[in-house]
Amino acid sequence: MSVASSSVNGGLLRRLRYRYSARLLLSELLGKRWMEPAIPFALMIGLIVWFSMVTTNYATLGNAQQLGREFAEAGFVAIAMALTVISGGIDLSVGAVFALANLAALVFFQLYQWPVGLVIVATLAIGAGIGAINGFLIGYMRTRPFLTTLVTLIVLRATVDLLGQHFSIPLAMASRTSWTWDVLGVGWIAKLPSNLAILGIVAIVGHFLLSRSRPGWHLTAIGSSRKAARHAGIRVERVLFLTYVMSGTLAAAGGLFYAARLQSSGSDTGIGWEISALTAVVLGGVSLAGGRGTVARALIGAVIVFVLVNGLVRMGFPGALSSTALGAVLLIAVGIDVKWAKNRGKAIQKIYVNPTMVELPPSPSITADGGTAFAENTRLQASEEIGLNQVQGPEDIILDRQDRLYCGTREGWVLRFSGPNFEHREVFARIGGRPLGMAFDRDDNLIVCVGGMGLYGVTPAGKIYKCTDQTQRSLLKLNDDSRLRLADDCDIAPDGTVWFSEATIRYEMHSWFLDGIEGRANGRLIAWNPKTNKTRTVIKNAVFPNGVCVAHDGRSVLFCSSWLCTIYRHWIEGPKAGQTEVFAENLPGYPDNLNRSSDGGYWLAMVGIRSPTFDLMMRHPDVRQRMIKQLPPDEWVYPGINNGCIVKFDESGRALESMWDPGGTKHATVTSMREHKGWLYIGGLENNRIGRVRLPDADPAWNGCDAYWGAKS
Amino acid sequence: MLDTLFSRLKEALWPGSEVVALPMMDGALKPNRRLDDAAPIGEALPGCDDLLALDDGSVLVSAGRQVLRLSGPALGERALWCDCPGTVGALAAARDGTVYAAIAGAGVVRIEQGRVGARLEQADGQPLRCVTALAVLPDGRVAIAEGSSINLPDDWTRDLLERRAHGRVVVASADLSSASTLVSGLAWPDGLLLRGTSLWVSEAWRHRVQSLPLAGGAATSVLHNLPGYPARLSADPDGGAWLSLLAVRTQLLEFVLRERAYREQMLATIDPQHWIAPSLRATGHYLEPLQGGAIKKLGIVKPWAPPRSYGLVLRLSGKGEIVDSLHSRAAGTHHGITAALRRDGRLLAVSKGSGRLLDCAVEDLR
Repeated sequence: MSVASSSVNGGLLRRLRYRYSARLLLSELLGKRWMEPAIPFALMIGLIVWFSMVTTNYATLGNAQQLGREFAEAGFVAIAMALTVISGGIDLSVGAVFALANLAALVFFQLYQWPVGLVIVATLAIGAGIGAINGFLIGYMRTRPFLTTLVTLIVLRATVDLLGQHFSIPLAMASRTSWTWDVLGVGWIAKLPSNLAILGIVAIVGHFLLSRSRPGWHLTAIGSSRKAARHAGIRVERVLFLTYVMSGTLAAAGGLFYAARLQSSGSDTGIGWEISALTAVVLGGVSLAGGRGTVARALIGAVIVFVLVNGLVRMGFPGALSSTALGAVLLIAVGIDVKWAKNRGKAIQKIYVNPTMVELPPSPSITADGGTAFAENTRLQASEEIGLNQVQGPEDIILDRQDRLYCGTREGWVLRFSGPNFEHREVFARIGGRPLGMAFDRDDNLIVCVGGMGLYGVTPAGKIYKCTDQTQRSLLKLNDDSRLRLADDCDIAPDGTVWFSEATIRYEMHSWFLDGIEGRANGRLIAWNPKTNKTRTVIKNAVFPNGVCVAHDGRSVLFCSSWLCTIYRHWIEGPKAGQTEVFAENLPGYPDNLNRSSDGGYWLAMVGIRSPTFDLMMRHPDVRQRMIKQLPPDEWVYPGINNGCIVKFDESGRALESMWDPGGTKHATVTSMREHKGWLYIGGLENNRIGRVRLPDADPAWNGCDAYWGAKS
Repeated sequence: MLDTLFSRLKEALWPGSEVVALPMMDGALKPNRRLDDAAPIGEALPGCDDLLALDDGSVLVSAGRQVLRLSGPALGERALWCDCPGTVGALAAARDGTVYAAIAGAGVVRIEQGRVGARLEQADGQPLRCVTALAVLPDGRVAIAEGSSINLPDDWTRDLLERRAHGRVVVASADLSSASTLVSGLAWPDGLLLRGTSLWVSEAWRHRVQSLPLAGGAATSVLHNLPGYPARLSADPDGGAWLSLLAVRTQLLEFVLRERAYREQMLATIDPQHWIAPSLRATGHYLEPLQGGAIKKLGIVKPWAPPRSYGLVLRLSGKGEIVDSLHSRAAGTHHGITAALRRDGRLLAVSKGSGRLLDCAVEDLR
């Protein structure tokens, strides 16, 4: 069978293709926030390159400096627009504010002869004042941003026209100059045009404010959902008010630089700038729906618009035509923005799961008369029930020194059963998440792996404390893997270090099976040292590491790799320290938790049996890919987990015996077992009970706490 | 017409993109427990396959190499009626009391008074190895459905997974001395029912029932896109009919049927009882493919889990509309219904999967 199928499946190339997946990289790339403006960024570079090629003297330092100086003013207006759009509104008055600021700055400087510092302050104050009017109306009076700023636009435009007529002749005759004024208009800061340099500083500060500070997050939150932001306790009115004040001030700053550079009070100043700014912002990837965008994106968009308009003019296109082109670009950008925002998540979802090839050798015999240690029997069906229908999904179970039985449940609790027949049930701790593997430390604290949260501890009094929820980040992984996503099982070495497995870094507890569909090395073995409180990733790239057990002598750690049907031994002491070797391989099923037995061996919970059709599917990554795309999860093929099986191994990794509940009539999906004083206790991820079977040949005094930490009086 | 054309085109251009929606189990198909609740008649009867009502009120059942006669109150008495030379499948009776029986791998035999008589082993030079259904025509001739010329009756899942359409309907003379093919190229015809001058033929792998004029001519559709694999048909005294289904379709199986490479490797390397395939019998064995919805949660398998095996009998009106249904869902055991027979206001059904004869309560239609 193996010969036939491996020849059909093809050789090395096919394996490599599934080992390294470009789709995997793409799916993780698309998931990054900084990839959102990838398309506008590429467009920007493309436009610049194209105009450099078709326009003479375009790609020269002088031209770049000249363009930079002209661009800076538009950049301020674009940032002003971006802030309001991110807040879920719009500021149509930016162009008019720009024009008013230009006129005001000229009047203050030329006619009133104010010192330049005062001119700057007064001009910005005018912008801030107009912004405050907008902000008051929109934030406190809850008027619609579009209409409000449209009205402001019309009123301001008329004002500028009136004032412009009034001041045009005196301004035309004025000729005051000043060194500082010239620096603002045509000066240089570090070889950059002064206005561009200041724009750069504003942009950097603005970017950090928006993306890394509390006010910025509040702004974004309001843009995403005003109602939700209010419920979260954000002072929506005030933040919106300040947003429009900022917007007005930034637009005024643009006008100020324009005045200093051109010294002109032409009546067409700033006309249509709100449209170019809006185009720029949307092109850059700031969503019109609000809540999504950064300053950098607004500037990318502004560069595109500026380069496009400027380039078309240079190539001799009439102004009307370049306006039309701009309009068309805006239309396309809005269309793409809507589609992209709506479908990005879906696109990632479609390509996120990337199955790889898992080729297992033919399974060893498990038939009842097969004569192997795995031979099917019905020994688990004789189990006694504990907590029948009182417990939902006891993934792991453990007993303390007082013979009380603990288990984690799917509600996020740790339950405790006590009394002679375990009939007394109580909620010991409500940790949350999905409590999975458990271990007692030297001081009888219960250490619990909690899926979705990390590694937690519970004191004997029931107090919950966090051990660790992160480890060091891998340098070469796109996804931030520092947080623990699915801590699975733990055990404690004699020095107190907690060794635990993280089954996968790509999926959550509820979608663990997608990791099985994928079959990739997405998991880790991690060690947490309680003395130093340091967490260290010891083994990366393990394939669904599941059960963890410190060997009897405390010198090595055993851990299971579920999808590979293999158990590994990792040496932590002695001459082989740091090395990993195979403990048992090609198991007939999927290994889950692993625990010590009283006779110096190990119990293994075999959560499922390898079914031939699933084994074959693991050799066909493309079939699995199509299966999860075309079928709902309820229809997918799973390993045979409607079965109960526990296997015992000796210290050398040889299987000794097995206990079965074929078909899982009482114990389906067995994920854990614990030997305690002559009984074997059984837990299951999806079960409604805990079971126990008598171990006739076991040491009736042996229990885990004493075995790990010695007897206590 | 245009829809079909477009979907064909789409399937040709992008294989697998055209996922045919399985019909919802709703309306007249709404699931119930009526087959689960049905009382078994007598002891289990492994291998039971088809039913035949005799004029004297007794019922014949084919099971293994035997045909048994059930009689007495509540059909409680069982007696051997005929020993056959092979595994018996379909049964049919002529007006004069002659019984025709299908023998797996060997064709059709005539049984008179419990004695095996004439045999028909081939038609048009082709051996008849997989006879699945029989019907006696008004003129005494016998209509014979052959599921496949490639596979034997017990290999029906292989025939399905090989996507065969090698079945045919043959008409033989009453004494089985001659036979000729009426229509061929059918995808596992598994049921025949005489309807006036036409013959209803259920075509399992195409999930449909067609009406075939005996005088020749084009077949017309009676039922299409059924939720399962239609098997035997039987008449109801009220003018309607009963259609039993081997199993229901699952999205997984439809998917596997589209996945050629995977399917071929599965057929070549895996034990047939562990294939991704429908089954007559619910075993819940851990080596069978397990679907996500069928995972045991808190100790139970949900009844709506994707079923590997299922029990389903449909009641059809005279025009062939589905008017009622009897179910045994994933959590039940009375699966793999191969025959249903209306008798004395009750419905007898053969659950080949569980090896039981079932006595189901059904109401008269107004």
